[in-house]
Amino acid sequence: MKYNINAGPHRNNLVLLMSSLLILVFMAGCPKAPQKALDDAERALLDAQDKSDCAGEKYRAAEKLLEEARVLVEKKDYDGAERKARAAEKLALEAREYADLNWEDCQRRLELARQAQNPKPAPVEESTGSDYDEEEQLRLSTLYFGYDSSEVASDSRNALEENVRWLRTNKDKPVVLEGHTDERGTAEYNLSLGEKRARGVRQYLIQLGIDGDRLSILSYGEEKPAAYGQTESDFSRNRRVEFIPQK
Amino acid sequence: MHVLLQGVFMMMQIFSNSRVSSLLVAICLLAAGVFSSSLVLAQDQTKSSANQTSVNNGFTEPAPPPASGIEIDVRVGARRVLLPLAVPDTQSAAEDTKKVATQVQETLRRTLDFAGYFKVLPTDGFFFDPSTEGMSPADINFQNWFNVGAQGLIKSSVRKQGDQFLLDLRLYAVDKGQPVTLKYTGKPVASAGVDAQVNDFVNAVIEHYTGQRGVFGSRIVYAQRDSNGLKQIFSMNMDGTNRSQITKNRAINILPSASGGAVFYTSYQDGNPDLWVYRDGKHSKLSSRRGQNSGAAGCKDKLAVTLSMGGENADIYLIDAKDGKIERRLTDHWAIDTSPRWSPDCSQIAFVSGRSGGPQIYVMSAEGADQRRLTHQGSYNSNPSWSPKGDVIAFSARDQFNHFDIFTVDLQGNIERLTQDQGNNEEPTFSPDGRYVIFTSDRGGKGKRLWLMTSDGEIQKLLTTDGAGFTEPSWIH
Repeated sequence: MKYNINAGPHRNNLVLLMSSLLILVFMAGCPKAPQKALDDAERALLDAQDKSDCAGEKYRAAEKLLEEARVLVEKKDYDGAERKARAAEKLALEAREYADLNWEDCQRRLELARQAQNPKPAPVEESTGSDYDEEEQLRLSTLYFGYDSSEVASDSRNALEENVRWLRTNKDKPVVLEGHTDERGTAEYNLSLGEKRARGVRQYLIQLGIDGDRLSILSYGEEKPAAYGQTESDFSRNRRVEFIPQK
Repeated sequence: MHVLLQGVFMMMQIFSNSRVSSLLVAICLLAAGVFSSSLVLAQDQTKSSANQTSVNNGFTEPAPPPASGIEIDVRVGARRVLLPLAVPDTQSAAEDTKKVATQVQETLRRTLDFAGYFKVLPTDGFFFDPSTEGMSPADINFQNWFNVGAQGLIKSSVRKQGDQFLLDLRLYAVDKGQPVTLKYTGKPVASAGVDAQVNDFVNAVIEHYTGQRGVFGSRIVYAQRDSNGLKQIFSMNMDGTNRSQITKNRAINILPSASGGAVFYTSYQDGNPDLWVYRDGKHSKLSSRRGQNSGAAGCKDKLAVTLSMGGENADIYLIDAKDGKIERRLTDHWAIDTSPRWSPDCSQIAFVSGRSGGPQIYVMSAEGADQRRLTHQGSYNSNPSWSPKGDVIAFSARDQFNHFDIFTVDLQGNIERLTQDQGNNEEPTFSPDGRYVIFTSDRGGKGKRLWLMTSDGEIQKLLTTDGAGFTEPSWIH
């Protein structure tokens, strides 16, 4: 009798415990890796990756945090992993923003640094040929275009004027106008669209009095992206005409 | 209620302690085990409903005639009835044929699964051991195969004959308990010929059930980006196997097509997008006019290409397939004209033109006459591929959400949708028998990969399970 009195509530507690456990299991699901947080962080890192050279310490810190998050997942500390992954995502986004702001300057600095390290660089790419004047390339700017458009974007007008000044100063230098598109749409149609962009720039320059014989055009369509990402900012950096000076 | 909440609160405290996590995981596994059967059921239901929602077309290809006697239909989507086939492991008596046996059973299962007519039954669902069962009718317990739901049974074995392999491939009708006579004869093959022979057998199985032979073993060409940002041209079987690299240069190579034993492609190896041809094991330049030389499409002795003639403007021309000389200019418009694709009888050409603003699908005669617009919906329609039956042209279109999907249009302009809600789907190419379309898709978030679907869009299968960067597939005709 005494035993029963004591055991009763105890057994009730146990049942309660088990049932609340089951409820929890069904309400909250099984404890599992914070996959979404990890994915988000990875995506943010990927977005920042092609700019990692210009993203400074934050990018590396974000990378480290994501790694730590993965270690915690293996240790089954899912809360900790989620916190780390979220922090990694935030840092990666900041890194990307920072890189975007400093992109042009940083690229030129990097290029000059590379040249200083290696005074006689190997030919950059087969396509630019042996006549490619790498030094002068740094003084010319790339023009950007809107989606599906062959009109130079308004924020590229200054760059275009700078290039015109360069063309007038360096009267003996031929230039290849290289047209590019983003990866959306059809490869073959984009080949024509890239050419159309380059052709439009060439015609504009001829109207300004630049000798057309100095200006040749070449389209790479979507085949030679400047940025490999899938974001709108990557796409907009790929819709471009590059000025490639020849010796 | 109050006590219950207290219990939950207690559990939450325990929950937050990571050391107890493993205990919870164990309990979860237990729970999962108990409820697994109902879960499987639920998954099956979502799968079939997903299939049904992904289908949106009025294509009316007749389903294969169901085998007589047994009424087991595995429905995928609205119309297609899949015939259940059992394909037990390929038997191999000796150690040195084991690898080939695995290759045979995998090729059988993969191609029969891709064919779009069969449901290959999972081997772990057999309640008996098929490995001990012989090849001949007297050795086969047809009641067992009937009980697992099979209507067809494919038995296979491999043995060595000298240096070669002898494949024994048989199809049995389970309800009759008898072998089916197929238009197929096996003969000893070297290991390199194993896939071709299995393909031939599967093509005969397809012919038995549908009246029209299959085309497994036919190949496509495609371009793939490498880690250096370059692109090379490859070919492979329509089931994604037997790949071979065609270009091996240090340049960007794009837009391959193949017909009449030649592979045409555009390459930047000389600094300009030139048209190259790979024929009799040799690469040579076919058209290297300044500007665009691309998208060669061959039909009999004719070759249509896009040329921009010094970068002036992209138009479509016929050139001589041997020396690249221009035979005829087919389009002459200030807008972009590109991507010519022949009708099966070589009398008409579908192409893409930007003359109305964005790219749209047009058709014209083989001489460039009677140019007319075929697609009027959407602002970006491109990548035409003419079906071998001649009745429709597949193309990719950008929809109102800026996603690309694959559609067909008939010569009256009627549109059918083949893909929907699955990432971006582009670059369709028809199989020589018109049954399938191979295309690129970025669904699954793993970059561009090649997929194969039945030409009604009902069944869609991933072809390239490794890597990404697969683009511009074109079926070899």
